[in-house]
Amino acid sequence: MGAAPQITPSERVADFRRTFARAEAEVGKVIVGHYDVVRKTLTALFAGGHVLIEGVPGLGKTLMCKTASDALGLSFKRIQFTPDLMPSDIVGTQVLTEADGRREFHFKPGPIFAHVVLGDEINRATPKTQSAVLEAMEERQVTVFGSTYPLDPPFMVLATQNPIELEGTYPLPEAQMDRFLFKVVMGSPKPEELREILNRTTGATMHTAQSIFPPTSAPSEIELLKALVREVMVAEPLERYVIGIIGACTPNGPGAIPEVSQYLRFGPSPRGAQALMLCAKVNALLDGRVSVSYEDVADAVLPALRHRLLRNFQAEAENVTTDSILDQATRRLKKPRA
Amino acid sequence: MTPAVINPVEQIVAARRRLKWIAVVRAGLALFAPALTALVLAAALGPIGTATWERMGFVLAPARLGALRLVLLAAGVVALAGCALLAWRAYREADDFLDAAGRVDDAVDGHQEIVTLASLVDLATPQAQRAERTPLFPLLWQRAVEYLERFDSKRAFAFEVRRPLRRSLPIVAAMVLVLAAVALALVRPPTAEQLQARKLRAAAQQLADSPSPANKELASKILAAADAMENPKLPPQEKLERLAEAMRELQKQQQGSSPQQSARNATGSGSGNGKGNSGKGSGQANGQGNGQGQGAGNGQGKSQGQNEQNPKGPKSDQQIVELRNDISKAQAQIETGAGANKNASKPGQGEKGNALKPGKNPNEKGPSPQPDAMAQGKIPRPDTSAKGQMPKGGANSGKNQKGGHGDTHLGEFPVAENFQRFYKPGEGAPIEIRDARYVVFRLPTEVVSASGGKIVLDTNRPTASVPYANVPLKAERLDATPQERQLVPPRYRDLIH
Repeated sequence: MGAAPQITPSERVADFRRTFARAEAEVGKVIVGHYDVVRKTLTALFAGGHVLIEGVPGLGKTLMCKTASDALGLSFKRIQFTPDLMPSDIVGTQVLTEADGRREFHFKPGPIFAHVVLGDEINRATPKTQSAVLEAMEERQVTVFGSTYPLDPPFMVLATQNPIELEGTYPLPEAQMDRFLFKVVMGSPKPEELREILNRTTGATMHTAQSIFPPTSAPSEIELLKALVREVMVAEPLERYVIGIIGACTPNGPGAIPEVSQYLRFGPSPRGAQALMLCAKVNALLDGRVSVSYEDVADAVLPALRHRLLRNFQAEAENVTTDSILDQATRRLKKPRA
Repeated sequence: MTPAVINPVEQIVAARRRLKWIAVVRAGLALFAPALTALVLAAALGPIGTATWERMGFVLAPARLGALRLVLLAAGVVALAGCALLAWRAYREADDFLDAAGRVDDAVDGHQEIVTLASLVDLATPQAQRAERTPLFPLLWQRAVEYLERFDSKRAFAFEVRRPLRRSLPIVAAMVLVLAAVALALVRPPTAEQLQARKLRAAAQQLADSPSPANKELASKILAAADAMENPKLPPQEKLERLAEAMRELQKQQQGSSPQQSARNATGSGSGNGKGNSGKGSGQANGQGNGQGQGAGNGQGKSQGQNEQNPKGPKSDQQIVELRNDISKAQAQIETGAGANKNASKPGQGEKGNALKPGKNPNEKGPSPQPDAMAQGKIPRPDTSAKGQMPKGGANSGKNQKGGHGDTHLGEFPVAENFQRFYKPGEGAPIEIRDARYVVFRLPTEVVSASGGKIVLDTNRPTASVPYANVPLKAERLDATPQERQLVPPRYRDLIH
């Protein structure tokens, strides 16, 4: 699957922007506000990543994920994570079936087999169950009883977690956190947004999102757009800038600022740099450009890196957030000259 | 006519060329002003020294002036070399295709599209050597062309002179301040010889302004004498010869204008140039020679000048008289200096004739303090015979003479005050305690300790009335409430029960 040779590059870029804008508009029909969360979710989809959405209950996290998949015309499955959820409940299992007098094991796919999988309250499941999603997220395949089953592209996991109800939860291990391209934080709606929410949800008219793609061609269309993202060019100074950001956030690293060394135990992994670059590329395309700028990278720093920094005890006790550390690090980092 | 096709790479190359020269100019100008300042100061050091001397009365020794000029020249040359080095380095550093692209990008606000294009076409970068241009590259090229359509490197990158010069101003100011401090540290009050040379120089300057060739000749001689006086490397004899030449020239000129005057002048100044003896002669003999020779000459000359020329009032004659006096004084200065140097150089060779001799009468004249015969023969001394020939000289006895400065413009010479000295031990009347200026007390060298002490018990000191023991205090309960509450991170919650 590659770029269509018939259309010009400028048309492809324009098509990407149009598609993205239409998807945003469709989600916006249902979800009031949260423009940044919606944009980052769609960005992660076109970048080929997964999103961890954090917010208190009732903000519309689940609805937003469902609406996004509806707008893109992709299949959607929801898994409510509970402490007694088993891995087989997610990836599927072998069941014994009888046909023509013969008994055979057949693989019954779990809910992970969908384009968009919503893992609701993912931190309520045990680590064993959480780990069942790891292979699917990274390898885009699942292995059950020695048999590997690929997942249809595009595959995206949207997970939600509640930051306040920590009783009886199992915080995601760092290995799993690192597999999310973005972590977006959903804040409370503004008063005017809340009024609009009331109008939409308590009135007689129910708002729904329509798919922007024809029902069958949505996955292939999205894959074409994902390929376009990978074609966006990056200058060598920009690459050094991304590397500099990663270095600045690594404790006791060569370019680490004092706050990083003081408050962090571990910095971002190379996956963080990949996430930065992919998000920057999508940002460039959304701006109509085919090359990444410093602004594109800066816009991606918080969602791409905030969940990859591991704070130490002092930072937790002093309530120093990773966002503030990242803000300090990027502000002090000089943009490299060519 | 079709518009010229813009090649972004060529535009970036042109911008790089311009940026290189801008970098050269900027780097060069950073040290050019200090270099120029150092060289200008080195060139102007002579006039500055002259102005310091003329306006403030301080003099910078020629040797130090030369050293300072050398330092300034060296600083200027070093700054110029640094200038060239910085310019060369700036040229090398600015010779960067990607950097030039970045500057162009900033100028056109290209959101790093120009840089991206440059990094993909510049074969010096590893990214370009990978040579994997995506299908989007033509679009990037097209957008770069659109950006560069309105780009003019000459307008975007103008030669800037003011800022580098302004940046170098502190260096220039520091240089001037350091030079001023060094000059202040090196300047000295002028010596008597230098002062005299200055007077001679001023007189020569006045003579040189006159149209007469004789005056010009005289001025050149006087200038040569003044130069010789200020030259510390010349021996005193040579300085004296130069002064004698000037004096001869002066006499020649005077003879030409007034034969009578010249005749008298000849008797006055002829003996003043005579050489002295070895300096080991007795003080009495030296005093005689001195009084007769120099005192007579100067006294007559001056009286003539005043008596004959003042009534007429010609300024040149007055000048000549003053000039002659100045030359004479200069000779005296040199001779005094030479004598002092001689004395200083031979401190332990038994020249007892130069020291003050103790006598029985404190008012009795001792041997002359003059160091040698040469100096005494030339310096006017208020001796008996000399005093008799001075215009205003009275019959002062050496004992009660109070001294005086005299009016040197009128040919008078300072008269030395009768010297005083203190008694030596055992000399004169017995000293009483009221005559003493200081009293010296002598402390006993050793203190004899008393051995008759006795031990006295202190019965009045306080004593404990309650029995006590070294037992630990009773532990008190800590019933204070904590002052603050701290949040416990979730990961440690399970550890707290």
